[in-house]
Amino acid sequence: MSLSTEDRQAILDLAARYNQAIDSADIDGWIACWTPDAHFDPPGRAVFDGPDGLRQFAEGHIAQFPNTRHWNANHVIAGAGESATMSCYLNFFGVKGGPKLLAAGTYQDTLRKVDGAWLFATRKVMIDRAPDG
Amino acid sequence: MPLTAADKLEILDLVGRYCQAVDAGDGPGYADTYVPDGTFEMPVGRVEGREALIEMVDVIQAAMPGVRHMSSNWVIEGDEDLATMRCYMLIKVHDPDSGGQKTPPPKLVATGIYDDRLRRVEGAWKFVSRKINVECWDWPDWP
Repeated sequence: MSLSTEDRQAILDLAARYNQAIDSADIDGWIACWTPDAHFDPPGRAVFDGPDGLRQFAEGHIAQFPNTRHWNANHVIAGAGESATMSCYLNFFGVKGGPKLLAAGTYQDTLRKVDGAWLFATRKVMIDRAPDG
Repeated sequence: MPLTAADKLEILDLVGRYCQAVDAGDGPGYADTYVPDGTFEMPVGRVEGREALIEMVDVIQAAMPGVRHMSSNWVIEGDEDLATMRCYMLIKVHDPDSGGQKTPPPKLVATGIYDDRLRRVEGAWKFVSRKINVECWDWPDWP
């Protein structure tokens, strides 16, 4: 069964809650966007697994970038039943002293519906690279 | 019958695929978001048909390294088989002053407004035409 309208709206809502949580330093709210066995592959070499790993990432991220706004665009969602994939763009702004676009990239995600709620199972962030990069 | 919520979400997904394809240099994937005789109109000219649309992606890629198209504020109206959409556009490139970094800083270079016509073809929404009104442009070469 393909994804319903409600599924797609719930996934867009999840992506928004994820951004709002990390930008407001709500670590528990951000971790709640993930499945218990989540795998996060952000820019850089380190990867982070499960709630403890995610908390470690979030604490480091918020310490390094205390005033940020994550913006997404171009969500493309596919899937069926209780699993889905999404790709969307990321624009990562610093907002202290006026907005500055610090980085841009693309998320590649897998999602699962757990107890009726869509959650990120994996997210990989690919920062836009130079053509020969 | 008016557009359903499912139609509108499918059209948003189409916009996402449109932007991701042109930015990935995927000409055929880009042309797939149009009907076969689809048109793209911009201030410097008009492109019509699948082959010309594919060729335009190569031109854009060559002129604008790191180009990323984004859209927002979608206003969609129509019935079960025909629709119009107006939405905002934002374009990002690699900052040309970045000096050969592997992940060059991004630079926002253009905003505009799309006026689109769409048609449902064999169950799938496609662009019939896209017309971009560029409002501001901070990049030396228009492709």
